[in-house]
Amino acid sequence: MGGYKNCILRVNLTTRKLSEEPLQQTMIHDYIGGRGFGIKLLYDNLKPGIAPLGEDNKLIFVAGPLAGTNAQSCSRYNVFFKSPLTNTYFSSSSGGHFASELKFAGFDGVIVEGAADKPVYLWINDGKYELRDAAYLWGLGCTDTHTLIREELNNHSARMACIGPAGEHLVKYGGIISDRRAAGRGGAGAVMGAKNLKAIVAKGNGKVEVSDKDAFAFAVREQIDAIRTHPNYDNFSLRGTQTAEFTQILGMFPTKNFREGIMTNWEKIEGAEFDKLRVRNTRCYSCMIHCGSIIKVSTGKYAGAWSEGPEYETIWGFNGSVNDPDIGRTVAADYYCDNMGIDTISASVAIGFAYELYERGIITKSDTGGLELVYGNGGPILELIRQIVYREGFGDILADGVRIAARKIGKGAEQYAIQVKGLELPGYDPRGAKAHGLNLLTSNIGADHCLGYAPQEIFGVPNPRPVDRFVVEFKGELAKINQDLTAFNETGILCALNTANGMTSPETFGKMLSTLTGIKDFADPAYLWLVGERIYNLERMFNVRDGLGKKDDVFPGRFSEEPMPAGPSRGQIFEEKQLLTDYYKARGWDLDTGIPTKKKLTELGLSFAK
Amino acid sequence: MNVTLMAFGELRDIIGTREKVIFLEQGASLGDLMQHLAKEYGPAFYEEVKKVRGLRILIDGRECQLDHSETPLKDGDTVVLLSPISGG
Repeated sequence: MGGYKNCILRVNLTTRKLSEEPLQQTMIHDYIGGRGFGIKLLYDNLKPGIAPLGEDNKLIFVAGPLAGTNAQSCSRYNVFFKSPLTNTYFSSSSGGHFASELKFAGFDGVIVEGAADKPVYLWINDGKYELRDAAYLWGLGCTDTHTLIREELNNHSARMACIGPAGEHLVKYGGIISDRRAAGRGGAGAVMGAKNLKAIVAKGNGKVEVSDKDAFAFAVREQIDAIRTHPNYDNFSLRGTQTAEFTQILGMFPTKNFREGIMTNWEKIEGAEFDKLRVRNTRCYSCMIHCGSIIKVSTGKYAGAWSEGPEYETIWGFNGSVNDPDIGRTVAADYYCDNMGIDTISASVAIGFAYELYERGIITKSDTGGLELVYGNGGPILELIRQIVYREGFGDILADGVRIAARKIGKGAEQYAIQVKGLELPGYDPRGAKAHGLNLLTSNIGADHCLGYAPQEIFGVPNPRPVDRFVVEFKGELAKINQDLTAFNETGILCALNTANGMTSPETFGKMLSTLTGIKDFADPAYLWLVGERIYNLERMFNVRDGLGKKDDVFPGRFSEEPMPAGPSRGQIFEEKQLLTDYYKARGWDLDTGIPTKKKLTELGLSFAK
Repeated sequence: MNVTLMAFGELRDIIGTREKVIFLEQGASLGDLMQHLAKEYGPAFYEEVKKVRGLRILIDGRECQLDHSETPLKDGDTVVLLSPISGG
């Protein structure tokens, strides 16, 4: 069978036992790979109610069957775990070159369990593997970690997934970094830090077998042609997501901790401004889009600062949250966050939250160590990030995420904590796009945009039909469509940006999977939709098993009670009750509990999930 | 009445500026705006705009199609001409 290496490496850090396991054939057929494998393995391997930062949690790294082939935008890995930030199932995704290298080294994935008694890293070298001492790396940033591990191994093309100081200090939104790409959200880095695991490093000389080479080449050619002729290709391949104007013109660019939808002086953070600073584009393994950019600041206080990025979310986060359009500081913050291994979305929302508490007098300079947090002045951002990373001062409170921080602070701070299930919202105000908002509200990992992006509302994509972003009708069904589509594309693992732009159709994706693996069912889009819905419902049942349900699908009151004050989304609220009911109906879930019905679970082959 | 026109991406090269205020007769439509722009930028303007792949037009944040020339405008509207861009 092509595509798979038919081998998962299980690493018990407590016993230091490393062992190989073959893939289950039924799991391959029923879940395809990637996110499908991730939730099935997590559901089977994790006991309900475990502590996310305890030894019982596991980190499951999975590369998709298409990783390491010339299929475009598919050489990614996802990491699956119970999140310390949300206490839910979590899937965090990263591009780069680690996934393809893991496949070349002979593995579809790695299950990490237990905890080491001292810092270690895992070295996977062309079918062989060992744990190595990482004491000398502990405390280092991700850039130095990459450099020193490569020097130690005398292997400068080794690829890795590592943590920085944020993960080591158990910051609940510490991420995992691969070169300059991040599996940033949800605290995978904190789980890794709790396990004393600094990095997983891979290098291999193998290749990915293809079941039907001619047909696979034809399918990939079809995908390449579709991407190249897509209306978004030219801009996307130059600017990536460095175009913050697209939510400004919709009036849903969250500003001042989601109070407003347009930022002051937003022309200063437009794509045209980043065009002036772009040095070159960068790309993940086998991705013709090359949406990454090296950006170098040329003037001002931050002259000389550079980063690979920042992407849209980071631009929004470090400019919109504090209503300060200094992109030099944002570039510096982006590099710092990547080096420290911390999620830029959660960090920036936590900072915007602190600014609002300061403005309202809920916290004062005595709480912030003298920092004045005044909208329009992003000056304190870098110091606040440093305090979060090292859990110093007020940063120690923010390091647990805004939900926990608000509980600790009290004095009504909870209403200003912009999160769902503990995960901070990304750069989209749900009042301006109702299906997009529904995804943030209901997502199995909390308020993340990548698991059900609504291009129909954000980009005006007319499929499956044109929609008015403000109306509520059809939005429950549309959110389900976008979520299930993303779920089956992530079996691939097709990049969420490719999915959101509609660059690879289900038909083409299915042809690539089928001709690669030799499994005929994968060519049928109807089968892919079934698997997508199966994955989504099993993820939901993981959370249900841990006590979550309708009570956790809830926004902060701001979105349903405070109409958007100005701009193109002026007067809009998020009609939460009606939209949620419509969504549960579309999903076939119980309207009172938000739990999948027995009938739905049976229909999806999930009757084992209780 | 006054309408604010904003242009992004390659459309900004055609318009020559990020943003400008345009005076139109009361009751003017999207088609009237396009005719006004054709007078200002030359008869080839409309053809140039149509060549932009995936062109988006937003009137006060709502999607509108270029061929819906009868779409009414009102005083204070912002009309955005946008070539495709991506978010993440």
